[in-house]
Amino acid sequence: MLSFDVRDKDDKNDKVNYVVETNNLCVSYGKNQILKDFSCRFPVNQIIGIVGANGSGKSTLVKALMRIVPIEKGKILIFGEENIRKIRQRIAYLPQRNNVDWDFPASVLDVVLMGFYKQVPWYKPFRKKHKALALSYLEKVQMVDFANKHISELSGGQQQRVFLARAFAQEPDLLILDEPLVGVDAYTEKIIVELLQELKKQGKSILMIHHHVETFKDYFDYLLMLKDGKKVAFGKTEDIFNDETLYQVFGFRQITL
Amino acid sequence: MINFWYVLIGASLIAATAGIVGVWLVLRREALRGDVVSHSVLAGICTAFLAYREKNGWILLLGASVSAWLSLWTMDFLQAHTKLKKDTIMALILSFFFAVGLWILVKIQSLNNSAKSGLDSFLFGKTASLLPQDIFVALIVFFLVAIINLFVKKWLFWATFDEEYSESIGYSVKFVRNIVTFMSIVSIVMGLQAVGVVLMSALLITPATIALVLSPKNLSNTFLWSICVNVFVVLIGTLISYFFPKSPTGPWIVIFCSLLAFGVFAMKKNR
Repeated sequence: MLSFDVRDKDDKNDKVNYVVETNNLCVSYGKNQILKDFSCRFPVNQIIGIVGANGSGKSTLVKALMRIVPIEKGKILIFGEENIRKIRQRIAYLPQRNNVDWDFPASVLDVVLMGFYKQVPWYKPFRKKHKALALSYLEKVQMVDFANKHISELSGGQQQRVFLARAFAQEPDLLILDEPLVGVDAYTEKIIVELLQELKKQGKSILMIHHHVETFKDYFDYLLMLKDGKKVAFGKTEDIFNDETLYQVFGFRQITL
Repeated sequence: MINFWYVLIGASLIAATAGIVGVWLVLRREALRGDVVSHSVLAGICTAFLAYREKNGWILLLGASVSAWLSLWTMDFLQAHTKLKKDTIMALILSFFFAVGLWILVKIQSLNNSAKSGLDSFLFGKTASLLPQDIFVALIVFFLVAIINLFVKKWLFWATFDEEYSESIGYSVKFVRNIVTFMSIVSIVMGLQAVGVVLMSALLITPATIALVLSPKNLSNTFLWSICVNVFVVLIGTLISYFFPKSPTGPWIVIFCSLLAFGVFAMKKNR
């Protein structure tokens, strides 16, 4: 495969090679501009890490991709399409775990069922068929025994696995995850990473926000390094991840690795 | 005697409606928002009465909706454009709109109009004063809320449980906020006649809280409990109001319901 990031002018039929493209994207919260003229092209069928210190605009970027936060300026193309309505059903988004009300009266199964929103219109209830299917996705994340448990009874790692099952239930071509490995146990981390690699083998694309510097090289084919809403580096992990970029983004150098 | 049954049915409908809407308010952490709405509708109801000089359910509902919407809009506006804290804003708006409502209510009472009798029951509530046409309105409001919940339940559920995910799949959170606001306005306007402006939020919040303690895992059961508890306490309040016309219904209902809540909390805590 060619590296896509070095070429600036492409043929039109090259478009399909990018799962996400952003052009001069600006996003603000109130008076604070979080993303500043952000342009980047994410190649298709890769596991891409979005990394940076707190407040660097990682979450804002993925929320802007899903149009959860409004775009101030610029353009986003996903699967070459600007209208999110046309491609939304091909994307699964996994929000940060702590932004959710875990005391809500719902069972694990109820949460996974949300992933079948495409199959069942909003005014209709789910059927047995979907419940059986939901169980099979819970099996994938080794949570099938918890199906009827209340969501507050789960540990952090188990909650994250339920979220992943929900995302898998959507059968996405692009999976966007906001810090899925924060506060989860090692076992859960292993399950999640393996499932993401399996998705990649099926030809899907993965964008993931991640914190642990030590695992960047193991988990990601590509890396986007952000600082203060600006792109510091983007490219294949082995090409761009080094002491220099690490220092630019996080302010420290790696001691060993 | 027929009137007695009318009142019982009307009160049950009001209670069931408030029971459903209350669960959403509690789950969405909008309990205090409900309190602001219920205090501010008095201004709208009284203005509508002043304009039409009659106690027509639909007109009062319209007036109430306008003032409720105004109070919510002011609240959101202040929140977006000032640095004031949320609870400060709510206290401010609540007292302002309530003061306006009281002022107009006193004006009405100094008027010479026979229809004004019954309007003061909006303050403290009097279910026995429910008229057949009020019951008709209550019936329609109940069916409206029930149908919304039957068809939009998934949407309400998802947008309340996980806002970001809901937005990501195109289930608008704003739509849900508007639906819940709409349901709370109509249920508050109906409930006012039972418990009055001051205590209305208790009718929404307390049974829903009891229900969430009794059934913390299954949303459908939460709704059932909330409806049952609310109908039960409101019916008892109505009976008291019927047989002792001089005692205020609202306080009876709320005291009774709160005691029930404390009992349930204590019982569940021991386990």
